[in-house]
Amino acid sequence: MIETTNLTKRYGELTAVDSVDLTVERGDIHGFVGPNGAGKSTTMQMLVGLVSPSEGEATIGGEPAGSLAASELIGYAPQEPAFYESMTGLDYLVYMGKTAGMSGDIEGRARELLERFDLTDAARQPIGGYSGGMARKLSLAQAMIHEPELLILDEPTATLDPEGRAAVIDSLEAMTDEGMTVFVSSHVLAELEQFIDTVTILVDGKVATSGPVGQIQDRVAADTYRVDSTDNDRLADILAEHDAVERVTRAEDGSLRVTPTDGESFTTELQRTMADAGITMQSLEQEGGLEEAFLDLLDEAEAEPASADAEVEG
Amino acid sequence: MRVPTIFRKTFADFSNPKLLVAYFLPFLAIGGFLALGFANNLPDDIAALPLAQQEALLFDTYAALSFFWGVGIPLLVVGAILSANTLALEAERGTLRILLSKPIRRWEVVVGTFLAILAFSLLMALASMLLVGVALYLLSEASAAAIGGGIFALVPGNLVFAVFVSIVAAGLGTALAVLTQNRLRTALGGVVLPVLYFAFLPIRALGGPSYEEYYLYIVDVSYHFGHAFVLAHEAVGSGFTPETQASLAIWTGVYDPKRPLVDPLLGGMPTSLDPVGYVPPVASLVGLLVVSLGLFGFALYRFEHMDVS
Repeated sequence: MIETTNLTKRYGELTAVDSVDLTVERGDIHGFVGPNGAGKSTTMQMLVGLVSPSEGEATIGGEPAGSLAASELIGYAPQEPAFYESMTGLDYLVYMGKTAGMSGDIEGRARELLERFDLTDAARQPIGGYSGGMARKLSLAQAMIHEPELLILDEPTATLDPEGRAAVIDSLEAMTDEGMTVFVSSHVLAELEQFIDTVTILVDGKVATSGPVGQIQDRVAADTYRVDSTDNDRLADILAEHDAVERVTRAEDGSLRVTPTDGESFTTELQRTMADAGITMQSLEQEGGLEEAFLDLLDEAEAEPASADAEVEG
Repeated sequence: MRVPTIFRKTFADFSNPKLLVAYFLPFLAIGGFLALGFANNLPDDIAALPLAQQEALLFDTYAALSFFWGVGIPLLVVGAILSANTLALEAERGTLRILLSKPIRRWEVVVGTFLAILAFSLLMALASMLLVGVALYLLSEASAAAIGGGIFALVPGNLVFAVFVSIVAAGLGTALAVLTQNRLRTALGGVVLPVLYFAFLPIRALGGPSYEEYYLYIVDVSYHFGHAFVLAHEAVGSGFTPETQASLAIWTGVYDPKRPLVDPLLGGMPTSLDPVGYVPPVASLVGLLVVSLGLFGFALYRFEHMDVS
C-alpha cells in the first residue's frame, strides 16, 4: 500500500528525512516510531503529498504520492488538529466530504462517523467549544469521511489525557478489525504495541529498523537486562570493563540497562561480580517489548558516532 | 470540480459579522466626512436649481467621490483584508494542511478562493458606492428626483470599474497570501496599493515638473486606475461631460485641468478636456490586467509547488 524508495527531504543543510525505504502491506497496521524530530511527520507529509521530496519517491497503492489518485486512497490526521472553529462538527465533516469530492449522502456519512466517535451530542456545537479529546476524535472522523483505504495518523494520542487516549486507541483498534491499512506514528510505544502488526523505527531521519513487531522485539531487546543496585555508579564502571558485558547505559530512573555478550551465563556472572565488589542487587529484570527495542536502537544510534571516533583515534 | 465548494465556504467566511463591522465602521466614518466635504462644494440652494442642473452637479461630484472613496480605495483595502482571511489564514491555523490532504487539485483551491474574493468585493463595492451616494445626497440637500440622473446613472460604470479593481486586488492579495502564508504580511502588502492610490494625489499636485521628468506616472496607481475608471464608464455609455472631466482631473490625473472649460475669447459650449497623455488609456488598463493576472498566475504556480508542513 505504501512504498518508498530513497525518500529524502532536505531543508537547506538539514536532512530531515534521509533515504527512507519503507514498505507497508495492504491491511497492515504499521507503527512509525521515533523520538521527536526524527522526521516522522515530514515523512508522513511527503506520503500525503503536502511536502515534496528532495530525492526519491513514494507511491500509495501504486500511485505517486501527491497525485489525485493517491489522495483518494488516503485519510490524514495531522499531529496538531486544526479546524474552522466557528463551524459545527457536522458542517465541518460535510465540508471535508465535499472537498474530497464525495457525492450522495454526505451528511449521512458524517452523522455515522460522529456516532462512531461518540460525538453525536456535539454535532451541532461549534468546534471551538470541543475538548482536546473531542477534537482528536473529530480529526480522525474527517480523515475517514471519504472512506479511504489508508489512514495516515500522526501522533493521534498526543496531548490527550488518559481517558482521551483510551478513546482514540479504542477507535484505532476498531479500524484494525475493518481491514483498513493504518500508518500511525507515536512516541508512546506501549500504546502502539497493543495493536500494530509491523513497525518502523526512525532515528535522525533514517530507518533504524523495520519489520514485524515481534521480530524486532526479539532481535533488539531479548538480551537486555535492567539492573538496580546499592551503588549503580560503581557497578556501571565495573560492568563497562567486564568481558561478559557488551554495553551498559543508564535508564531514566538511574538503574542500569545491560546488554551481555552471552545471555545464558550473564545472571550468574553478574551476581558473582557484584558479590566480589560488595554491591547488593536490588532488582534484576530481563527486558522486552517495543519500548525497550526502541530505546536500544536509540542507544545504538547515539553510540555509533562515539565508536567511530574511538576507532579513528585508536 | 471542487471550485464551487471552496467558493461557497470562502464566501461564507467573509460574511462574518465582526469582519463586516470592522470594515464598515471606518469606511462610513471616512465616507461621511468626505461626502460632507464634497457636498460643501455644491451650491447651498441646489434644490432650487432646475432638476437637470441638480443632476449634473451631483453627477460631477459623485463621479469624483466614487473614484476615490466609493469604489477605488475601499475596494483595494477590502481586497487586502479578504485575501488575508483566506489562504494566509488557512496556512496559519493549519487547516490548509487538512484541506490539501483531501483529493482536491490545488488550483481548484486557488481559483475558488480568488473568485470568492472577487464576488464578495463586488458586493462590498455595491454597498460602498450606494452608501457614499446616499451620504452625498443627504448632505447636499438636492431634491430626491435628482438621485436617478445624479447618482444611479454612475452605478453601472462604477460596477464595471469595481470588477476591474477587484481583479487587481484579488490577484495581488492571492499572490501575497500564497507567498507569505501570513495574515499580517498579506494585509500589509495588499494595503500598499491603496496607499499609493492615495499618495499620488499630493505627489501629482505638488510634484510639478519632476512628476513628468522622473516618469513617476509609470508607478502612479491612481493615474492608471483613473484611465480604467474613464474607460469603464465609456464602455457602459456613461461618458463624461467636460464638467465631470474637470471634477475628475485632480483625483485621477487623467485630464489636463489647466485649460479653462470655456475659451474666454471664443465663449460658447465647454469642450472636452485634453488627456494628459503620458500613457494611452488602454495601455494602463492592459498593464494593470497583465500585472494582476501575472500575480494570479504566480499564485497558482507557487501554490501548486509549495510545501505545506
